[in-house]
Amino acid sequence: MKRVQVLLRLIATILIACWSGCSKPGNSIAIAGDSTRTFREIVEHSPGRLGLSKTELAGKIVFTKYCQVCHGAEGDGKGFNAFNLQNSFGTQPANFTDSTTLAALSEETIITAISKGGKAVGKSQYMPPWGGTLRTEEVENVAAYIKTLAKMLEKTESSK
Amino acid sequence: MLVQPRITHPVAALLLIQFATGCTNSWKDYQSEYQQLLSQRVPASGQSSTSEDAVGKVTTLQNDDLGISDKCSTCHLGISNSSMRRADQPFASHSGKYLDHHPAKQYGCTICHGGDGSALRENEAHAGMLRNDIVEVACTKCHSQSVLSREKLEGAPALSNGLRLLNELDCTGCHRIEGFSKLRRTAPVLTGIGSKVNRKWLFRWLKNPHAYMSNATMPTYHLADDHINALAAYLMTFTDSTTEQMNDPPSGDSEQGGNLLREARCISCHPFNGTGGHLAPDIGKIGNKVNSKWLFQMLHQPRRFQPNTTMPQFNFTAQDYSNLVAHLFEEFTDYEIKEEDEKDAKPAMADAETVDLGRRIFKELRCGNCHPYQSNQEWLQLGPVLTNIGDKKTEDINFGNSVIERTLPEYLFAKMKQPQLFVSRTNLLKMPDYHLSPQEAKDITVALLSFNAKKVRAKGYTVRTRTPPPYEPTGEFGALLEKYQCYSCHRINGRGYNLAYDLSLEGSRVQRKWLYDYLMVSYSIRPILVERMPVFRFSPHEADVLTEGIMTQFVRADIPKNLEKEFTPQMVELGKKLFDEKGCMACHIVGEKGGYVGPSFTIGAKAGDKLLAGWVYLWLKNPQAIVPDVIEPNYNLSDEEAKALTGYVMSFKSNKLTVVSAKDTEKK
Repeated sequence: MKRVQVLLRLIATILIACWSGCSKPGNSIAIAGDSTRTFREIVEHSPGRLGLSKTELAGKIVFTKYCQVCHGAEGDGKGFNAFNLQNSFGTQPANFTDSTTLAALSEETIITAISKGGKAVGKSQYMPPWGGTLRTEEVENVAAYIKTLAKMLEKTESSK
Repeated sequence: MLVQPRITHPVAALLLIQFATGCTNSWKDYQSEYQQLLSQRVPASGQSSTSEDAVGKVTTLQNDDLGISDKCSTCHLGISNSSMRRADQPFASHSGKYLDHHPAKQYGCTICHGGDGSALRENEAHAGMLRNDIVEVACTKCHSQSVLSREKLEGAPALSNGLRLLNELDCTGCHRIEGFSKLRRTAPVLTGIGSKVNRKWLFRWLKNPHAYMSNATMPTYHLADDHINALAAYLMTFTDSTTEQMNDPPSGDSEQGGNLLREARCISCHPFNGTGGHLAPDIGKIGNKVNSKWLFQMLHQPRRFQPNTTMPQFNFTAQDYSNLVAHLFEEFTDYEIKEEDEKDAKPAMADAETVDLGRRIFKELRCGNCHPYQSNQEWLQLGPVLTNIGDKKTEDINFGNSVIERTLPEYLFAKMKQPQLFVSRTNLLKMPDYHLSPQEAKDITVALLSFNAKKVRAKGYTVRTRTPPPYEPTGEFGALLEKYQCYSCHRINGRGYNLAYDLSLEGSRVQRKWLYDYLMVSYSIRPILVERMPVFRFSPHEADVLTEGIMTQFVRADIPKNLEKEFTPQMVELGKKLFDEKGCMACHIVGEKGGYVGPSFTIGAKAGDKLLAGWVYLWLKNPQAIVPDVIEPNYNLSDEEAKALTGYVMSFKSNKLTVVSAKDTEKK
């Protein structure tokens, strides 16, 4: 019973540490080899996760469903529908992998553009408003994810 | 007590320090900190944020039915305050929509999260809490697992997926789980398999199913080669007399078969060497597997061999099927494997002794518990009973020589991911390897942990098993839906898979003439999708019956009728203005311009020739109310705006000039 208690306390300790915000992915328990990795680690460090926080990962899921078709899987503004927009209206979806573009956009602007449409921030009306469809939390998550896109490209380029 | 020899890692030590400093914060400190936090925030849009949360006293969430008395909200002050969404713990509001359905005041916290609700010190209160990544385990205290294996619970994706996998992988073939009802056996019927496949393929398949097919559900059993050979020899005795006696099918033309393959959109469900749908087996190497006579017959009558198959029956001619068979054998054979098979021509052992050994292995592995076959008997399940696996004590687990963390979740995860980890000389494991991805293994772990005795018994809290009878229309219409397996792709009144459009409201959505024409010549409506409606070659009579059934049965009474009468040219004009303003053409094509995300309004069929105005109106008012996960923005249109926009969309018609362009001509 004592042992169980100790274990529970240990789990609680880890949880508390996570909550207080000092535990970033990567400084949890060391990874010694595949057979000793805990499933939390394997799932959290899976290649699809790309070192994203929980919020950013939730944003990525929404992005893939709603935004990717125009803004592209990498967020480079070259999605399936981008060609049509360029061709029909001479407008192009924003390229979030460009760090100068991204730096010029405050998180608030991104959130307004997503929830109230492109027009609300002085951009094209062909960016529709998603505020009636997505929850505030989801919009914020997408914005958080978009903020990571330029960084991610730099990371992949420097690792090449 | 906390300083255990096991905690040797420096990070763990750091965590301990963190923990120790965290302990010194008392709940009163947190409350004053929270008050400060509140005062810094500008009250959001008239909603006063002055706290109803008591200051300077302990709050207790009490529910005697659930045996809950939780003091958690004494420190977790912002738990129901949505403006605290991004605050740090302990002030952050709860994530997701969980509290909408389970208000903290009624349910408390520990019912889901565990821990000690009566404690006020952080370390005591948090002891024994469920880890966040497996907290969904708690959902099954009230929600039935059997229901969750069929219907996804929105807030518990891992749990629902894990339970679904338990069903799909036929875990109950070997393990008894009381109270967990199984849908149906998903593994193929083995009757006639000896006339279906060639023995060399069967050997390779039994050795490692994933080498042949990346999306195989069948696990790897790690048997010795002579055992696999014996099992294959036994299975080859399950022959089908009709196939055996049949003459070779007429020779076919591969090129025409190829055209048919594309027309029938096989790729919507079947992947070909990894490319394509995900609902059916990969047939990229089918030429190495089956016998052409069997394939010919199966295409004719899919349900003769597999009564439960989701494969539709097409309305093709015998010559068409021969062409298709010829094409599949020519294009989808791995010639290297074929050459190897032909080189190694020595006949495999198939004497009575080998077959008998195969029979014993078949029984020993309980193959028949997942695969229905001739005698259809079921043997006693040989794996451990999993009814209360979530309560298993760490000291009762045989970790073997593995070096995993000594906890139940980690044990279950490792066992799902790599069963061979636990094989030792003393522990001959029967559990096969399912080649699960880490995510799948994790989801199944969550599902397994949910099988425990910690259920809520209080009245009014348990979510009763809802088992509405599956939708089953009768008569010729019902028979046609079965024949063409519409449910394999379309969801209809809660039955079927949602790969394609939900047809439950189709009769209120589209015009009769369009529907009939579409059934006769199906075209691609949403080019963005890989999955397309196959061309079944319905006979005119069949198309008639289907149209009639859909138009009369798949309807909803509250959809406004005869809305067209209300349209005036002024409204249509306003509609056009809105259409441009709202940027509808970012996704929809009109004429030569527009995007290709949603259906085009002028290519294929014109919107006014296809849709019904009442449905368009409701759709524009709130698309998600009709199709919950549709990628269409809700513009929060007023009734008048929605009506105007409907009028404009409906004005695209082929038989007359649109109202707007008629007016334009007048001006000129």
